[in-house]
Amino acid sequence: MHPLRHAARVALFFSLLLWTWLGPFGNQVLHRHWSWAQHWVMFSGASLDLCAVRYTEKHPDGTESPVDRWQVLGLDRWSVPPSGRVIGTAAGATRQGQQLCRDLPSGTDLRVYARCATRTGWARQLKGETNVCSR
Amino acid sequence: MSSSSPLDRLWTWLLDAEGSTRTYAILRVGTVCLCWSEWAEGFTGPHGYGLDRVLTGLGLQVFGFLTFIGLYTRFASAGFAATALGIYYYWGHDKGVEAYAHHHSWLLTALSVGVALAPSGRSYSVDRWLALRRSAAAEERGPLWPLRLIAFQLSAIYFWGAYDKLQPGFRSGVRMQHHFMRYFWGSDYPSWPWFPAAAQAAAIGTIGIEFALSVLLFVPRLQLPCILVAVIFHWGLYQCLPVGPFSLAMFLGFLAFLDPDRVHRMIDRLSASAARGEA
Repeated sequence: MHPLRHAARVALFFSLLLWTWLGPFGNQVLHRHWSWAQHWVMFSGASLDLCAVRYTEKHPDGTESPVDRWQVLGLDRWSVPPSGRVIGTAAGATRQGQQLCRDLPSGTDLRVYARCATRTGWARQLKGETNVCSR
Repeated sequence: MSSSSPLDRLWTWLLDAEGSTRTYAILRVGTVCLCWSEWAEGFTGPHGYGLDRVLTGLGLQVFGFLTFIGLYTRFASAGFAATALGIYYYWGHDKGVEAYAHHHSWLLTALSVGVALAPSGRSYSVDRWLALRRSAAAEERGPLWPLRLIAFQLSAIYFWGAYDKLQPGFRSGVRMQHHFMRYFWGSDYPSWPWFPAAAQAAAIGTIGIEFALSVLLFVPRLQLPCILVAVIFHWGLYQCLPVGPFSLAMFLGFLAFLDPDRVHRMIDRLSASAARGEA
């Protein structure tokens, strides 16, 4: 092979190799966002529209007992598609609580606990401090 | 330096090695099929008639068809790769169509570029058929450096995918909990006491598999078991997460790790068996 042609092959090979490897290195190690390169951070931004939600009924003696939202709503949770089972925000958890209030006996003290997904773990957002049925 | 020093052997393996072009031909056909299945519909009439859309659609269809059948393959595959780059950079990044800037779109683009750099028309192509009729067919051999680039692309996906997952949120298993609840379970946190430990085991297993595959796929003796593990891994991802054609594109890319001459001989053996069966 002609030396110039070989040199061109070497230059092209290493340029493309750098293009492949430098992008994620820049993003993940140097924390630079280069739009010309793929960063290979698959699903790192996925599932952040999720909260783990728990409902309880607070009794006059201060104790709390769990409330099954599906039972109260009269729904079979497995007949609801996965997206319908997900509450994405703390506001959504409160809204679902208020919906439950309509089906619970009048005067129920319903508390909402919600932890929402972040890239680093769970962020506690609702700590059952208020009775959502009194709003 | 001796001509057989490890560095020399590595240099030869990277840049000067030659082998069968049948692997390139399989990659050529497979890449076009995956690109069409992922992109073609978005560049048809119902999505609009802007000049950029029409040109992209024509590139996908005309260059794609010629590349698929292997007619004017060098020219057509270069045009197809340019179209793929246009979809990723122009439509994905400049025009902000998110799906075209996704990981799977980049992988399809990288495969298209790899095919365009290779003499993929020397096997299983109309070009070869015409050359055989003229008794002027080149041997089914060519340089392997484009194949190495595809292999390093797959390795980068595993390595950097695993590196990103070293963050505390993932390696603790909490991000796995998020994915499980977001895509399957819903917002009611599972009451199983083993759930956090299982999520952490899945997270650490994922990181381990990805780091291992980024290196071990290059080791000839370990390639088949590694590919088996990878196929199971990607099949699982495909079942659980909306990954689009990513898993299938990775399966296709595994060919880049295999010795093309072995692939060639295996096809010969399969063809011989088929011929004996027909007789």
